[in-house]
Amino acid sequence: MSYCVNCGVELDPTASVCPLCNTPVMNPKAPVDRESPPPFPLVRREVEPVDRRSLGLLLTGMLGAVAICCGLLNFLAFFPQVPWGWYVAGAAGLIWVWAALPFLVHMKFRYCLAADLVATAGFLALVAGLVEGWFWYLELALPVIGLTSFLVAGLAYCRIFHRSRLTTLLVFLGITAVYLLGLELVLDYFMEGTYHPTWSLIAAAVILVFGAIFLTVRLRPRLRAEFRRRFHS
Amino acid sequence: MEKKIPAEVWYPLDNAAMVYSAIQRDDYSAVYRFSAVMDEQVDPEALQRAVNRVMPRFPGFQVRLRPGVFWYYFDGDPTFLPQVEPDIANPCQPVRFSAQDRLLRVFYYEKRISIELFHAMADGSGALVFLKTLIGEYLRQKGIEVPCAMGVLDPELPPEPGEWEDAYARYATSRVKRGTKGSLAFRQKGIPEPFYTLNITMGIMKVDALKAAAKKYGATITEYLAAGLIQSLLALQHGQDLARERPVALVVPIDLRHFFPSPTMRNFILTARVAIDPELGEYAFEELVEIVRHSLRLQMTRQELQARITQNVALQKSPILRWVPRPLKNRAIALGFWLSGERPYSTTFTNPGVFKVPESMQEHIQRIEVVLGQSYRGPANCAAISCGETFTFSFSGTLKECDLERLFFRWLVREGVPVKVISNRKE
Ligand SMILES: [Zn+2]
Repeated sequence: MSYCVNCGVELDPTASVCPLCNTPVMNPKAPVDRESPPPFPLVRREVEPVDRRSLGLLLTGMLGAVAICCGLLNFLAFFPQVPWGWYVAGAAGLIWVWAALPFLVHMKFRYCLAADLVATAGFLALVAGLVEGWFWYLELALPVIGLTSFLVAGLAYCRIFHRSRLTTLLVFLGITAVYLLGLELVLDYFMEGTYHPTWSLIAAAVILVFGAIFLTVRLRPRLRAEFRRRFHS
Repeated sequence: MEKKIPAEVWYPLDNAAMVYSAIQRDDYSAVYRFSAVMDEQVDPEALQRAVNRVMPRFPGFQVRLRPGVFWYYFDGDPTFLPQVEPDIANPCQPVRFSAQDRLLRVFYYEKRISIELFHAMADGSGALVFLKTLIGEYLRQKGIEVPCAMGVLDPELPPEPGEWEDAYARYATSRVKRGTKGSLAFRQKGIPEPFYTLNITMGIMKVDALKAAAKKYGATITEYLAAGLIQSLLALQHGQDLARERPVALVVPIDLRHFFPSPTMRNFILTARVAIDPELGEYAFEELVEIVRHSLRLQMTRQELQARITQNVALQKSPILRWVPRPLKNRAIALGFWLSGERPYSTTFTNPGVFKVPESMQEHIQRIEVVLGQSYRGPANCAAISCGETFTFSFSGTLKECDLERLFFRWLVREGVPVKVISNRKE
């Protein structure tokens, strides 16, 4: 019969360490029993994980039914000259990629994001094709989608790698500044054909000032301590 | 047999079952386990024979949980006999509500017979009747005379309808409705184990030693251990050097059969909340015992409990909730449970009391164990039960750390209660 020297609890003869504090059992008079079965079994077994595909299939069925029904209604009954069924079908496809695909296929987050963006671009392309508006699609929609994906990817990167709060804030500020600058660039070219940065420059300047302050605080341990002391809550 | 249960039988869920089925997830297992450690190696064939003989007496356990449009429901299956299987290292695995997965499992390992139940079917009181009957029949299969008394049912007799009544509905007659509320409590944090691991740390004590220690404070064993648990949780939180400490609160299930007579083996429990706010200052152990005792007794009044039953049943019957489709409703119930049943509590402490069986059974049982399934994010839950001379207290959770377990058992040792600790943690 062995006891843990730290906890004072009696241990099972088969235990080589104390389950409470991990102290090894050293009892010259009663060495650890390695022959008898331990108090609990060692074989692990798991129930199968929940099959989430059924939900995905349900969504697929629902969206498919909506798309087909609207298509039939459109071409057989309501305004066959206006192809509104295509919009519904496109939107159903978009929702399918966003909501149902992750249940059907197990994908890494970045592939999910890529699929979502491709689907969005595809849907907008469909709209552009239907209204013959390739001009706005190429000059406005695609660049904005690209910029947004850049923003989302940057934020996801911060969340995945669990950086410190200050670092996350810095990355977020940087990405936001680039996003705003890019957005104004795209908008200016689309509307006027030239680039006259105004509001995004102001925003970027403000962000730059704060970013510089945070960066200094981040890099200087003494400043960081001071910052903590002054702003503790 | 004069009365046979028809094959096409189904039951609506009772009030507690509704909640348990809504919150069952991969990371919340409303499955609990009772084990009996016998005096010799378990004979799986005799155990299977006992299971086969006993099951028809418990039609409420021969069920599947099936999804309806508005509610889940129990679908009776009189052919269901759980297959006795070798025990596993990670008990209380979550259940699936599929046609194959069953809500009752029977395991054996060395000298231990274990049953696992999905909480929607029955509470601890019902499960213990099943365990007693099963062990009694198992011993009979081994050639030992066991009388059908003290909760051991006779498997030859037909089931009685009252045993499967929804007792909540029967007693939801209060004029006043009352809910419970509590603020966010301290929660243990730590590194989670890989999925589907359940760490068990069990302390085995002598009932007399525990009783003597509790008597020093004029407390019952439950009050004494609950106070000790609160003290350990307070110390655990205090060690974290937080700017503001949260209240430490236990959720203690109350068996309503003590207040409202019912032969039901389905759920018939409510919970009491015992909370200590460390922001108010230091507490001596005597003070903790006093607070636990008074707080529990204040909440255990027939009138108050009935008002809470009425409130819960009214919620279930409310026309708004009733006609919402099940998946949506379950989300709402799960959210409600998380807000009012999970966040305000630091841990669960349940003590179903003494496992009393006829003498001829008692001498073949070394001890009874109880283990609770994991709750969200896995802080350890606590459960205790005694049988004969032996008292077992178990922690079960999915955190790698065992600080609470250590604080608690070291406290008991300091109090002069010898404890033997066993665990399924990997060394
Ligand atoms: Zn130890």
